[in-house]
Amino acid sequence: MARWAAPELIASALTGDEGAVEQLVAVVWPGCFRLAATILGDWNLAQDAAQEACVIVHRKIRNLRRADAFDAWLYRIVMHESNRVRRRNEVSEQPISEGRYGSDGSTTLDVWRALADLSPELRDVTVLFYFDDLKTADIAAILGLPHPTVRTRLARARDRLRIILKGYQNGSQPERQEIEPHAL
Amino acid sequence: MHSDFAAKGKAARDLIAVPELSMESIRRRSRAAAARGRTRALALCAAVCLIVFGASVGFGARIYEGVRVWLTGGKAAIVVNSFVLVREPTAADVHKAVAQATFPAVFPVGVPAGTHVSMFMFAPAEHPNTITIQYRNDVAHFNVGISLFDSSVVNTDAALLPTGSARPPFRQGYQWQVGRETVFVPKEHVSSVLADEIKTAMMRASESGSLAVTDAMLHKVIVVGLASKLANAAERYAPPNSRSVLLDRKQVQRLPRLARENESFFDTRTVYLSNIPSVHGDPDYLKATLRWPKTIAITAAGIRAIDAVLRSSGTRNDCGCEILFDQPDNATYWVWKLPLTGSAGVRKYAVDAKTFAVSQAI
Repeated sequence: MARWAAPELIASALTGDEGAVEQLVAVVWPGCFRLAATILGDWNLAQDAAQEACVIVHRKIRNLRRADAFDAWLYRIVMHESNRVRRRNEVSEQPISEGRYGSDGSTTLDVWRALADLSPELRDVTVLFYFDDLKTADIAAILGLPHPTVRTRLARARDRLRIILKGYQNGSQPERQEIEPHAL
Repeated sequence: MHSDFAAKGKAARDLIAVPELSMESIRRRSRAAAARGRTRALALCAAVCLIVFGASVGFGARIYEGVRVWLTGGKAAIVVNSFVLVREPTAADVHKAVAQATFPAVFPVGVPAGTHVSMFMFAPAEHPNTITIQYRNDVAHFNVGISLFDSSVVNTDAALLPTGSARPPFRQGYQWQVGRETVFVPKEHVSSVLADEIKTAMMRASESGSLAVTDAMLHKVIVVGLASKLANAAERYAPPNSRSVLLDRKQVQRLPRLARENESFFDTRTVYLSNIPSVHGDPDYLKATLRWPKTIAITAAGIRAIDAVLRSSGTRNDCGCEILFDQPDNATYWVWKLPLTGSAGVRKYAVDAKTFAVSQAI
């Protein structure tokens, strides 16, 4: 499994080869940024989170013992930094606008709107499960949560998304009370 | 819904415009973060080396949760691969460790007047069988670490010592027993006369009595930071039996950023060291695993209160002071500005916990 970068590049970076470390940072940067942007729903805040994640990779990659642990390690870092930035800026249920998020029409916008309507806890598991194809056990390890909690959150996210997306298909914004409360 | 939503989501994410990455900025920030980490580790190493070697013990075969001790013929050798270190301990820190200790600890008494406990080390973390107290008294030149061991963990057979490069060095010292406890005092820091006085006083002391004597040598406030100059002065202002926190000047300078980022201030006095490797019998703390428990010293709201005080006095960037903080009730914070120079007086402020309105308190 090599989601973020080629195993050879990761292995070279682990040896402390400065050039390989910088090349690795450059390779993982778009993925880090897009993950943070999806989680945070804010292009500027995503830059903060993704840059901090890359600083950590640049500084600590040599401490990683195994190349095959890199993917989970990087996911943990990006999610942690995104959540830190979210807490710091109290980013909450802000609707995501098109702009730099790109658009190929209403479908794309519906995805961002649906994510924005999820609570941060549900959004985290939704993104990792649906967009990154991670298994629930891996998500639990990345987020530091018990496995059953991840499964419960995912089920709730699924229920909520059905309501939200159905509302968009009918051409109407779902009533807020329909999709609240978000509390787990 | 699964495949449809997942496919749309992945496609939508691929459309996000990715900004250019400045590798120079990453390099610069990485270097700065590494420098901060090194400073922290070196400060810790200095502190640990002081307490460990001040106590004339080196750390590397009878295993008691990471602690191995040899005492033979007035010499000691210790190998520890994990321990807990508390800088500027309070009575609560010491009492907690003592309550969990595997032996009834009688603390040193009869030490010179004016002595202060600057550090406290115990191992293992859960049920300590080894306690070291670092004393500081520059006037009486009593700067020494005294170690207390559960006698049942002490080996007397030097043949069981590790061999080769893992062999810890033996150090000279005075040793005696008080009940189930073995006391070790390094020879190079304490005269034989003073060691005898301490021994005689300890033989007469009870556990609770010796603990009360030690309490008097501890700070009453939580001193955060390595460079506080005003801890003794701050204790005069801190309300009795409160949980007041003193921040040194360097920590005060961090407050605007913490307030801006809505972060709490962690109590970093306690550090857990584990997996301590041995190099030629000496511990290499820089390669140990360090863990700071996430104990909050001042909440994010408390940080905002202090920041409000610094703003109101126009000294947000550098107040040239140390800050004493206390929360007497849910509605109020108290903040004292303690100037580092004696020219200006100490100011006490009350801050409303809801509105963060600042008023000067009497």
